[in-house]
Amino acid sequence: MSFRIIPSRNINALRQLHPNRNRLAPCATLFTATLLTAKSLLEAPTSKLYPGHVPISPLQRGILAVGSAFTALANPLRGDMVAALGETTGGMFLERIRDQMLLDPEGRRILRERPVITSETMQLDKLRELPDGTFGREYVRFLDDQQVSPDTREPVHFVDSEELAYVMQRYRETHDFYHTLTGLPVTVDGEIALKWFEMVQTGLPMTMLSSFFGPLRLSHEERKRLFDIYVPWALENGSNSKLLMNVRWEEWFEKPVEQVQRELGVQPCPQV
Amino acid sequence: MSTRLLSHTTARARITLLANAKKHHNHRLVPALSCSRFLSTHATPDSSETEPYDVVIVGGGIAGSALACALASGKATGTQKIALIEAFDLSNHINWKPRADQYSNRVSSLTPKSVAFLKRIGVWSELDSSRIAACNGMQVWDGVSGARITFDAAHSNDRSTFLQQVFADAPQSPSSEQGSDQQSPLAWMTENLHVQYGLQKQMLAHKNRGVQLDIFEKTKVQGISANVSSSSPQESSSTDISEWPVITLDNGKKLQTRLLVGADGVNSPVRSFAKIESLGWDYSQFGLVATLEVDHSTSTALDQGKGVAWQRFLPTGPIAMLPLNNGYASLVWSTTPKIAQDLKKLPAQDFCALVNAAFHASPADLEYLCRNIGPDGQPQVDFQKEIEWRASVQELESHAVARQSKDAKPPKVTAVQENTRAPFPLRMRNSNSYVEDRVVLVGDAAHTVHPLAGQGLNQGLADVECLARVIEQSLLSGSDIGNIHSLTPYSSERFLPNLAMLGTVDKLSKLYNTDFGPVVWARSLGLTAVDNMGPIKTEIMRFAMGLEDVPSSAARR
Amino acid sequence: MSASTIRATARLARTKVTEACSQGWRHGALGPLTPMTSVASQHRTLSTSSSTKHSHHDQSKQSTEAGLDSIYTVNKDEIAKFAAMSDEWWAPQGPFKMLHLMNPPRIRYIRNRLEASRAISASSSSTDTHSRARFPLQGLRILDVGCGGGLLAEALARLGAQVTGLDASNENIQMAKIHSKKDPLLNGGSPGSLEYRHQTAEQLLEQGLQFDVVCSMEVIEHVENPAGFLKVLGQLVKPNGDLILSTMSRTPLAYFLTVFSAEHVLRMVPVGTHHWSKYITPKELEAGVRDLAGCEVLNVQGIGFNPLSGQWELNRNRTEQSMGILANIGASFAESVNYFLAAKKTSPSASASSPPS
Repeated sequence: MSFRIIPSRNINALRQLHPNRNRLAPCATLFTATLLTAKSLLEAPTSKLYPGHVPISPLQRGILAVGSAFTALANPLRGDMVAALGETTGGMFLERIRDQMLLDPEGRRILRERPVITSETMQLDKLRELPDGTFGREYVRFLDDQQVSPDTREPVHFVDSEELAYVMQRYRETHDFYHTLTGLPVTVDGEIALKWFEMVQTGLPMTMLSSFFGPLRLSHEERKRLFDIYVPWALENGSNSKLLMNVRWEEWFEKPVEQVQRELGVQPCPQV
Repeated sequence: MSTRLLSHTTARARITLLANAKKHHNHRLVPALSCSRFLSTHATPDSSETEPYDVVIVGGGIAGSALACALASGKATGTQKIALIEAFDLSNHINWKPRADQYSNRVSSLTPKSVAFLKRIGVWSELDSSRIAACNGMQVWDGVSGARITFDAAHSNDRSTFLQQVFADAPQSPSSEQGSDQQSPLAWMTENLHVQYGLQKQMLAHKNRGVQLDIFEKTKVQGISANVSSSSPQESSSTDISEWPVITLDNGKKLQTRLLVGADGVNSPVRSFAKIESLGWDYSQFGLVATLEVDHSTSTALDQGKGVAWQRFLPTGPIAMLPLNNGYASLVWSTTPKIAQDLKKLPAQDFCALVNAAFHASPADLEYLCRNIGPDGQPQVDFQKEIEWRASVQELESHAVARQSKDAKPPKVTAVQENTRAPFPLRMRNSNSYVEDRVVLVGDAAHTVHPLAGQGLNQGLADVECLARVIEQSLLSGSDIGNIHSLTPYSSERFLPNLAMLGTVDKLSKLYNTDFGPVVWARSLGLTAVDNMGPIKTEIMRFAMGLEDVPSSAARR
Repeated sequence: MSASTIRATARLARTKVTEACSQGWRHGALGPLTPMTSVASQHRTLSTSSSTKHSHHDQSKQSTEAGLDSIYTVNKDEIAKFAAMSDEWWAPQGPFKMLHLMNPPRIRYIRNRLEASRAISASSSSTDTHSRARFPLQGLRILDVGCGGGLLAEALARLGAQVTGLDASNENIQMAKIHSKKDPLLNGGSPGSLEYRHQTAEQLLEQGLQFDVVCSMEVIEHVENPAGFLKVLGQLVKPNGDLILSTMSRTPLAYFLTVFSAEHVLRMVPVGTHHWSKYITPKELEAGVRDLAGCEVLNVQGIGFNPLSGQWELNRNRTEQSMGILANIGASFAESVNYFLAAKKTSPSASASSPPS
C-alpha cells in the first residue's frame, strides 16, 4: 500500500464521488422524548426489549457513564467498560447513524435484514480461499495476524431501543473491516487514529473521548506521529468517504482492496 | 344610468319619482329605500363615460365580497353607491352545487370572530351546515422530537358573552349535535367556495332590496389613474371630482370613486397605483392542498379523532389535516418545491401512503421516500412495503417507551379525491401602509402570511369588518370617507395586530424549519412546557380564535 | 437637546407664563367677556405675534374693503392671521391637522346634544329609515359662525342640514367654496345644502335671519368683543333653537398645552395661533350664555387629545349627581383645556331685536 497525500484541491473531486453523503443531522427523537418525559430520574423508561438488555434509569445511566469513563481511561483494555461508556453516551448519535442508514439504500437493507457478523456467518474458511489482494482475503489475514475473531465483541446492554441496539452492535462488529480498509495497525496509536476517523464519520461521544483523552497515554514520539500523520489523514478521509455504517461488507469480499478503497472514498493510511 | 336623468329634476320630484318606482318591490327590511337613488353620488361626470361611485372594491374574492356585503348591510353605508369588480365569473359561486361526497381543495378554518362577523352580515345563515365541520381540538407536534401541544375546546373555559352571542340564536348553528350547553369549537372548517356562495347570495339579496351594488364580473381592471385638480376658482358651477381615482375596465367603462378599496390579492394593482410598498420574502416552500378520505377507526384519539385538526412540523415544513364531515379531510402540506411537484404527480395510492408516512413515520423515512420519486412521478421503491416495515419497527419501540403510546394518532388516509392536488407558492408580505388618500387595502393585498396557523382568511375578514365599521362611523360623522383622516382609524386598528400575527407565524415557521439538535431540543422543551401551562395555552387559544381584542377607539363614543 | 437649547426654552417659558398671567388676572368676573375696551387694547399691544402687528396696520387701511365696519365680532388681526393660512385649510397634514382630527368628535357632540334637546330624533331606533340614519340633521337650518375653510360646515351639510357658513375672511370663504365643489354630496347629492357668506354675524342679523342651530367652534377666543359676540349669536338662534359653542378654558394647563407645547415646542400649530388671555373658562361662558345670549345652558363637556391613539376624545360628561371628592377633582380637569357648551334658547324675546349699535 502506498502513501499519497491528497492535496486540498482534490477534496471536492472526492466529494463528487459520494453526492448522497449529507452532513449528519442530529435527530433526537427517542433521546429528547425520554429526557422530556421521564417521570423521574429514578425510573427506567422502558421494559426489556432484547436479549441482554438492561433497562436503567437516567440517574443510573449518568453514574455508569462517569464511572466507565474513568475506568476506561485508566485501563483501555477493559472492553466492558469501554462498551458501557459507548452505550450510555451514544443515544442521540445512534439515532443519527440510524437515520443516515435509512436514507441510503444499502444501509436500509442492512437495517431490514439485520446481518450479524460472527465467524459462522463470515465463513472464514471460504474467505481464506479467496485470491490475495481481495478484500475478503486481506480481512482474514488481518484476523489471523492479530489472533482475534469476530466473536469477541461485547454485546449491547444499555441502549433502550431494539433497532438502535442493533446499530451499536453492527458498529462494533464492523470495526475489523475498518482496519482492513484503512490499513491501520492494531497498536494504541493505530486504534486512536481509527477513533478519530470514526468520530468524523459518526460523531459518537465515545469516539470523541478516545480521540481526546487517548493520546494522553502515548509516548511523545507516538503522539507526534499521531498528530502529524494519522490525524490529518483521519480528518480528511473520514469526511470525504461514504458513511461506512452503510456498507454491506459481506458483498465486497471478492473485490480487490484498492477498488473497495476507491469506491468508498478512503485513501489507505500512510505507513510509517 | 337613470341617475343622469335625475340630475335635471328638482329634489322633491326625485323623491316622489323613486318612491313610486320602488312601491312594487318586496322589502324584507323596513326602510323605504326611496331615497337610495337620490343619495347616489351625484355629480356631473367628467366625460360621458365616467361613472361616479362612492366605493369601488377591486377584487371579488372573499375579502372583497365580504366588504360589499358588510357595506350593503350597514344603515348608513347601505345608502351608498358601491361597485365590485372581479375578473372571474361570479355566477360560478352562485350556481355552486357540490356533490355530498366531494369537497373542494381550498378549505379554510374560520375563527369564532370571523363567524360572528359572517353572522352579522347575514352570510352564515345562507350556508349549508352539513358542509361545515366544527373543529373541537387541535394536536400540534414536533416531527423531529415528538413534543406535542394539544388544544381542546372542552377545556376552554371561555363562556364570555361574545361567544354566547355567536352561538345563541342561529338555528343552523353547525356545532349543534350536543344540545344546549355547547362550548364553542375552536374553529369551523369549510370550503372557500362555500363562503363565496353565501357571500354572493347575500349580495344579490341586497341588490334585490334596492342597495346600489353594481357587480362587474368577468371584467379586469385595465388601469387606474388620478388626475390632479387644476380647475380654477372661477369655474364654480360644476362639481369637481377630478381628484377621485378613475378606474378603467377592460370593456372601456370608467368608474370614478370617492374611495378605492384594494381587495385584489397579493399582487395588488391598487396597491401599486397608490405607490405603497410591500415588503417581505418568499419562503422556499410550496403549499400543497388536497381533499382526502380518512378512516377514523384508525385514530387513537378520543371520539376517533373526529373534529380534530392535526399538524406535524417536519423539517421541510408543516403538514396539516383539517377535519371535514363524513370522513373527509383537507390537507395542507407546506414543503419544498420539488417535493410539492412530485406529490402532485404521484399515483393516488402512493400519495396516500406518503401522507400517512408524513404523519406517522420518522423524518428520515419520509426523506427517503421523497427522494425515491422519479422525474415522471412514479415511485422507485415500493412505498407501501417500506412504510409497513418502518411502522412495525416503530410499533415495537412505542410499546416500550411509556409516553409515546399515549400520544393520539391521526386517522389514516385511505384515498385522495381526484384533481384536488394543487401546489401554490408560500410567501410573507406586509404593506408599509394600509391607507393612502382615497385608497385602502384589505386582505391579501395588505398582508400575506404562511398558512401554518390558518389565520390568513381570518385576518382578511377582520380587516373587512373594521373597515366597514370605520366607513360607517365616518359617514355618521359627516366626513368624506376617502379622506385620509377618515381612513386612519382603520390603519391604526389593523396594522399592528396583523404585523404581530405575521411576525409570530414567520418566527414559528423558521423555528420549525430546522432539525439542528440544540434548536430541536430547545423548542421541544418550550412546547412541552407551554402544553402544561394552562393559562398560557388559554391565552394562545384566544389569540388564535380572534378573541383577544377590545373594540377599537373608532367604535367608542 | 443641548444644554443651551434647554436653557433658552426655559427662559422662553418663564417669559410667556409671566406675561400671560399678568394679562389673565386683570379680567373681571366675566373674564374676557367683561365688555371693556382697555383689556382689548392692552392685549393688542402685548401681542407677541409679529405678523399680527404688521397686518394690523395693513388691515386698518383695508378695513373698508369687505365692508367690515363692526367692532364686535371680528378682530382684524385674527382675520389676517387665518387668511394668510387659508391655502392650508384642507391639507390633511397641514397646520390645521388638529382641527381635522377634531371634527368627528365635534359632530358626535353636536348630534348627541341635538338628540338630547329633541331637535332631532334619536338615531338608534329600529324604525329608522336608511335616510334618517344617513341624514340625521335633515330639515335643520344651521349657521356656522367663523367657519374657516368649512371643516365643520361640510360635515353638517353631508348629514343633511341646510348649512350657512360665515367667515369674515374672504380668503377662507373662497377656499371653502372651492373645496365644497369637490364633493357631489354637497352639490345636490343629499338633502343638505351648503352656502358660504363673507359676512359678519351682525350683518346676518340685520338681514333678519334666524337658524335652528347656531354653532361657533373655537372662534370666541379670537373675536374683538366676546360679550357682544355672544349677544349677537343669541339673537341669531330661533326660539327653542340650539346654540353650540366650543372654546378653550383659561387655565395653566391650557396654556401649557395649547401655547407652550403645541406652538413653541412641538410646532403642531403656528406660533401666535392662540392668545391665552382671551380664553374663557366654562363658568364665565355659562354666565355669558345665560345672561348675554339668553339661552339655558344644558351641557358642558370637555374634549382632549389622546396622543397615544392620535385622536380627540370627548371627556366624561358632567353629571348632576353628586360625585365623590376624587371624582369631582377629576371632573374639574375634564374641561380644563378644550370644551363644548350646548345651550337652548328658551326666552321668547329674541326675534326682532335690532343689532346693538
